Amino acid sequence: MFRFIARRLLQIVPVLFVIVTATFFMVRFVPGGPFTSEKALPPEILKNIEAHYGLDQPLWRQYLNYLGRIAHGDLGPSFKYANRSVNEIIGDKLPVSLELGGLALAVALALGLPLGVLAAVRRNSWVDYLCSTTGMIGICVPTFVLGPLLVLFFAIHLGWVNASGWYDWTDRVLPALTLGFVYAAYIMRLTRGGMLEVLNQDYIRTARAKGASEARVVLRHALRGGLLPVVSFLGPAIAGILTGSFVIETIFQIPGLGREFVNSAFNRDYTLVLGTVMLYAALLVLCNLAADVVQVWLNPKLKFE
Amino acid sequence: MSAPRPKLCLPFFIICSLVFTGCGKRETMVEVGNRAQILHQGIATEPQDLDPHLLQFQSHFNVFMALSEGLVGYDPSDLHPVPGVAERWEVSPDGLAYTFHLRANAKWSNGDAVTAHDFVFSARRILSPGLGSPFRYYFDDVRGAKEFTAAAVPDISTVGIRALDDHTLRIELTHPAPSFLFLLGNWAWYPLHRGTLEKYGGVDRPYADWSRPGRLVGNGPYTLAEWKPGQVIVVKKNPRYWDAARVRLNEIHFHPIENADTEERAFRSGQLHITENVPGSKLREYAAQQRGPLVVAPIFATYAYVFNVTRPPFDDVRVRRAFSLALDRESIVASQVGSGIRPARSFVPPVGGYAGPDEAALRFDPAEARRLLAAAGYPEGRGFPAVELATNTSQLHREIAEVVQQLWRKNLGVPVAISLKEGKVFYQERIRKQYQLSRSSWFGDYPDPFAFLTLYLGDNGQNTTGYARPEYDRLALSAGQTLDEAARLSRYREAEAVLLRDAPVVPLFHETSRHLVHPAVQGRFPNLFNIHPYQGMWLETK
Repeated sequence: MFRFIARRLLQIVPVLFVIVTATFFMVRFVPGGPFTSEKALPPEILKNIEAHYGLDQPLWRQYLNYLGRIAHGDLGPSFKYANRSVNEIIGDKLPVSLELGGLALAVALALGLPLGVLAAVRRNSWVDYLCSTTGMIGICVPTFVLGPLLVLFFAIHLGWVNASGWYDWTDRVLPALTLGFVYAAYIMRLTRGGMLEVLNQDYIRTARAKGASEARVVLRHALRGGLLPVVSFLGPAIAGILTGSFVIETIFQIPGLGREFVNSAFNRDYTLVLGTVMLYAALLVLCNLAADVVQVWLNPKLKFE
Repeated sequence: MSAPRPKLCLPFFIICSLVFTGCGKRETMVEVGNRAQILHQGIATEPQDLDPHLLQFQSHFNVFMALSEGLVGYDPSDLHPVPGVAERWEVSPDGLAYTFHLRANAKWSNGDAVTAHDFVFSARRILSPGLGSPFRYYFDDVRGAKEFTAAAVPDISTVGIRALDDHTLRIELTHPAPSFLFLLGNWAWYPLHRGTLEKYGGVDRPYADWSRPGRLVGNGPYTLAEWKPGQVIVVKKNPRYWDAARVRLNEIHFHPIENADTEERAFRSGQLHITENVPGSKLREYAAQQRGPLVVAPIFATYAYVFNVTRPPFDDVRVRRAFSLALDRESIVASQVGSGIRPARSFVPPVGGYAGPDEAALRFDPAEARRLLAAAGYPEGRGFPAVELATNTSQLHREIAEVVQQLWRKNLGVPVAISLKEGKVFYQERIRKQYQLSRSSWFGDYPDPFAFLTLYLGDNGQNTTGYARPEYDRLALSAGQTLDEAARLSRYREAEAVLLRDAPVVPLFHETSRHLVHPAVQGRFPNLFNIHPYQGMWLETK
């Protein structure tokens, strides 16, 4: 198992290298630059600023400089936020996204798993229909509709929480619920599907025949296999949920990384684009690896190889 | 089968009860603010830095205005220059020399005295080519300023800004400039604290590290207390400010909320006193409210479309004029209910004693438009090449473009395609003249027609149309040399008449500022430049 994990971790290096290289050149070929704005800068001033950032050098040299930089863990200065480095921006904003993502994930799992199991166990009953319909609605209603609706009711109508911002724990409630609901719906449906498949298997019949209680059958024998599709979904989903959601962060004015990820592309903030892309890529690889490990652990038919 | 149900439902109820216990109707940030004189203001975007010499968006001027003060300030109601760091000044009879007497009790927030040398230092900074300030041109009227920036070895003693002693500053101009005092209250003329910049290295280069809480030393009514990127900038009353007795707000919290809908919801839930924007979709509803929070005021700005006059078909003045005459500006304005925008009768919005030329160049005359188009070789629009109207993506820009598109189709028979472009792509293509027809708004920096007319001078870097007419340049520039006010304005009028006749630009309407303002905000007056000094502002519920 350790060899498996070590090998996968080593694979991150070439993967990141390819991603950095592709992103570096792609953002440079997009029209407009970090200093293009409504009021055109006089050419001599533009030249000055570009020289300050080394943008006047040939592209291949800039690329090599950048590689040298990131080898030392320095993601460079941000082009948009004048006095801040990309390391600092990520250091500031990633914890916010992690917190929001963690809470949303907790909501998603706390809602999705039990309801999915319940729907599968009570298949074709009103419980199942209710859960499935709610799940379908959860998948269909986009966050940019659900978020403002929750704000309208809980923040503006009832005045219980702020409409936006990130000050105290009450500000975490609505964004975590909004983001969590969507994932809860997916998890619910996947859990239900996985459970249904497992509940028809021979070993479940054996367990029942041996006199195991229904709760033991479901929670101990079936759930383990039923969770497999959820786990493979959660791998990439966790990476996405933890690096922040542009929509949620915009609706609730949360100073997270998701907005920087999208805005950096609009701002042509080359270094910030690269920094966030790399972070996302690394997280994606790690989460997929974790998902694989958990799957092997859950599914006795799989082995590390 | 009954066992799982209570177990599985339990977490759901636990979460719900945990989440909402402790919540309840509570005092909002605005209510707390009203009590404690804390103003919550939206500023839309996050400032890239708190360096006033590198301002990016007008809304950030609110922050700079709290942290700094220039030689003069503004009267909050009509923005006429009032004493700031300078307690009085004299202007020489020829209008070329200004002598400012600085008040002895003007202090930096660290206790140092604000002296005339600070203003010389700051002028040198903004003029230095290394800093690359986009506002260097505000100093163009100052003797030797342009030469200083261009010089191989710049020497500040050649520039007409001199400290005669610690408290006397003399500024010499190359020609009389009636709006010069107004500009002096502007961000570009704010003094910066030399010791701090030298320590953290921001003297003649941008993007240094002096503008953080704990480091930034200002001379304004407030000091920087906190800056949480993407969340809030907090400034607190500066006890060392010379006029601190008149400052009534204890704190101002600036909230950079980019999304107008999010900002509007924050306003409604009692988190903001003042929003920077109002979503277009909500304007109609707010405008219909009697004594509602919507405050709309004309500003010194014109929304226009510009032609690339270097490429056919818009290299032909008849085509350009036809496109302008075919526009019914009333119907464009009518499409934006509640916005308060006014149809443009001229390029320069009415200001001071100036009203645009008497020429009916911007009238709606579809018959004449069709005649001109036919004369240019396109009767009823036949054979007109495919043209594209470029604009950056935004709901307002798209709606306006669609109305204009309909008007051109109806009145000229010309189908124009609308091309919505992402911001940076749009600006770059406009700067490089890779367009035929493009949106272009202009906000004048000072209350004078020249703030607008300068845009279409042949050598202005912001003139992206390719338009260059010596006659226009001569008229517009000579007006600036004229001392007699009436003669000056009449020459500007002549210049604008030439501009409207040549029609490189099609003004559509004059813009407004639109904010939601809580009724507790007192001492804030709508004005042409949307500048609202905090010295006379306070919060009071009635």
